[in-house]
Amino acid sequence: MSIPVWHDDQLGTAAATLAGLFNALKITGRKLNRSRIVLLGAGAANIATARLLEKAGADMSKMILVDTRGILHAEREDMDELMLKNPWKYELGLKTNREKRSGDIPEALRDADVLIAASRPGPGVLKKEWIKSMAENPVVFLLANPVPEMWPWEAKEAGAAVVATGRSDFPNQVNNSLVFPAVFRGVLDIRAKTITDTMVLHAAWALANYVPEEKLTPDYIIPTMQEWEVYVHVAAAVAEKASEEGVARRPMTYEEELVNARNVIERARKVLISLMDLKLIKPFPQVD
Amino acid sequence: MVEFRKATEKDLQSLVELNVRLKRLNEEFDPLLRVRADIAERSREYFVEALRSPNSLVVVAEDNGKVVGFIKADIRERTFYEPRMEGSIVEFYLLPEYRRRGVGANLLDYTVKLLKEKAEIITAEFPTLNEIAVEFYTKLGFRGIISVYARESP
Repeated sequence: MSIPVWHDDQLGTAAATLAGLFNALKITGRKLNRSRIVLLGAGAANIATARLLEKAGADMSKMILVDTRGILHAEREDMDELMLKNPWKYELGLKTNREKRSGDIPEALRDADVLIAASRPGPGVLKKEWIKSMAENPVVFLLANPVPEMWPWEAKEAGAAVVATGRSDFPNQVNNSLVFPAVFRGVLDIRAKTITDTMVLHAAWALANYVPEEKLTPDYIIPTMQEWEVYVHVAAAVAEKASEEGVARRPMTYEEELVNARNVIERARKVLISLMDLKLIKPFPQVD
Repeated sequence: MVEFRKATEKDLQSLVELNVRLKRLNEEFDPLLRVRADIAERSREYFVEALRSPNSLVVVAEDNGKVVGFIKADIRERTFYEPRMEGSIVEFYLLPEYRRRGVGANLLDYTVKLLKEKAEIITAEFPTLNEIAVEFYTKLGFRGIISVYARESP
């Protein structure tokens, strides 16, 4: 069927993660293709993150995946089993970790520039001393919900230069809600036949670039949901890429979708706000 | 560079390890091929015997001094059929990162050449449910000649 399909646990999380990572790399003066990236947890989110990182130009031979059985490498005992049961992880087992490092989280993190943890709720999944063994000023994403793999202040105390979590009550929320509404806006407006990985990657770049470099700080690497204009820009980037790739039934340029998406989103916001003013619907719940 | 040669006693440990992987892979394909607990010991005895026997051939693929794959074949006389001498590939394993690069086909080629010194017909045995092997051998011009069937429950 030629319709756009979206697996949010994979693509939504992966795109938000990449957006945050691009800016975290800028702040810490790193290049993606030279960074040692460790992915902790090899579920839907990190498998997609690995795939998109490859598309974005990461050096897969330096990347290390860690799952419940420890570090993944081409000669791990369960590789044949993975070949039959989880071909995606199998492929990553062949592509990543060229030095065939074995062991568990501590061995994986030694000298790593970036940790993207999407494993299991903490705290206590990660130890401070492991973060200390990473390269100088490392980037640490702790994406388990509702409690990150370790508390963000613990990671900072251990030397992390930039820390992101999945939570709205800490800085740098890697939030799939920043991605999917905008991607949907873009793909629906241009009547996309499919959603390609490059479209998702462009969504991530647009999300990252929405934060101007002079505003980037270790506590602000990714926009928040309150910055609704970001959706307009991400939608336009997705529509533009889809049109370039020939998967748009009604192609649009970046500028065309920028105007179109802004109109649609602005109108929806106005309707919502007036309905709340008229007390016809409840106001947003206050989260603290 | 992957190179092929006949195995020696020194390869015993590698052969055992790779054979354990092979049998565990077979188990993944078919629960009727459940691996015994003493698989490692049995593998060792099996290869000690094979390396001594004039009717067996063990060949290894080696990359930088490390054994990354092997084939074990047997020479048998076919009691009722012609041609009489059969070279049968009974074990074949290659580590994951050496697959899909032509290494397997070259290893097979190397083994077949050696077998042809004594055998006229070359056969290969593998689990029926191993579709990867089916595809591999079919591509190289093999086809099924004998089937072994098992009853699921006695």
